[in-house]
Amino acid sequence: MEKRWSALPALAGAWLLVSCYPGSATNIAELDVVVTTHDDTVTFTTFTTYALLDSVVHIDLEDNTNDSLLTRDNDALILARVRAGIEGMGYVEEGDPANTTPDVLLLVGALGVVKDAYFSYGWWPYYGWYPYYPCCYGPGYGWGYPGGGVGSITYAVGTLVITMLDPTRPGNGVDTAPILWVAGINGLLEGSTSGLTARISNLIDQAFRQSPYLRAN
Amino acid sequence: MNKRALLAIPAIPLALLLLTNGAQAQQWFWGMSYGMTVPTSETKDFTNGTSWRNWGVELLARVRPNTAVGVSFGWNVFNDVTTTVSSIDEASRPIDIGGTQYRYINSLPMLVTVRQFTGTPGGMRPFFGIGIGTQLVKQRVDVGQWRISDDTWHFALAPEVGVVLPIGSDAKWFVNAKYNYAAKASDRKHSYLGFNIGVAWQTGGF
Repeated sequence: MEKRWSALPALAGAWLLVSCYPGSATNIAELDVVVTTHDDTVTFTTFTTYALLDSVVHIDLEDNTNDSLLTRDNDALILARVRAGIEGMGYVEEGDPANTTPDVLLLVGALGVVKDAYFSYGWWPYYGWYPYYPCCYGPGYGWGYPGGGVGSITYAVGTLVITMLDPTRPGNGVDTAPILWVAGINGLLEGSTSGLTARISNLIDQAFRQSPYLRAN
Repeated sequence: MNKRALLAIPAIPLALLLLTNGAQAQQWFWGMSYGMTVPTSETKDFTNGTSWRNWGVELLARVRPNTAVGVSFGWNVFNDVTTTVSSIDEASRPIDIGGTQYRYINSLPMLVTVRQFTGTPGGMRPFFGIGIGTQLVKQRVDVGQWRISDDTWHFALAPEVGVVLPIGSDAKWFVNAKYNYAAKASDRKHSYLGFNIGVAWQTGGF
């Protein structure tokens, strides 16, 4: 009888191993996301020139200083990739934006935040129940509580925002300039330096790749 | 769907059983099945690819010599990974989302089932039938650090064909092909074709 019932934990385990949500991210890059939106009343093919603000604006939500999680190490890379992306769309950089208004103006902002997450872990399969820890059946063993608990993790998240404005229509100085296109790039600020720079480059490229309507005349 | 209506689902076959004579009401057939499913139409658009995570249980009682009525429950898991850019149409501000998307559907049909058998009791018994009831569809997308999930209840239909094969006096094998259709709810409908193999136990002369 004992042998017959000893199969139950294995069956129960097999059942538990069946996941409702199989598969998940296996590397940091798979948690990156690029969101773009644009004003679809605008005809981008009428544009030819652009200007790019010469620095990345670091935004700090805590105390409104620039003392954020982000270093300036990647700013040059970010601006270079944005410049390559917009020129890949056929735009030409305006050499004298102070005197000649470009068709579009690009601004780049960056934000870093720290997040805390809590998770619980049970005793299966962390402890192992069958056959390593036969707590729950057979002679000499009573019911037991094998363990488990709550863990926490802290991680940094970075967001890069590329905004395309129409600099010809700020008008009276009260209204804000119309936003033509925005790209929001979000990912974990984790991993190696080389990995991070590669991800930044790929994600900025992706922002332009998924916005084919930007193509200039 | 009204949750009280869900509670009524198991009550329907039980009421039918009470209306039948005592001898036939004792003739039960219950089984467990495993299968593979192929998503179709909108389900395929969301999670393309064959699913190998499909289970079912069923309990039927014979109400006529070749007719059985009962309930069946299923659990079908679909998943897919895609890097396709998804678009959301917002008025004058379309939104495009790029990134690795992990897509999941957990579909749980809960059906009242009617089956008509042919063949000889105790031997190989081909059957056809239909299930009518409800289906809970739990749909989820994980992209980046965001999760979008949605649960919807659908009216469900599930026609099937299959065959019961004897193993011993009370044990049976059965195989069936079942088309699960979940009618539109919250602008979404689902369908998939399942091929299942199961083992069953019976009392009486199925």
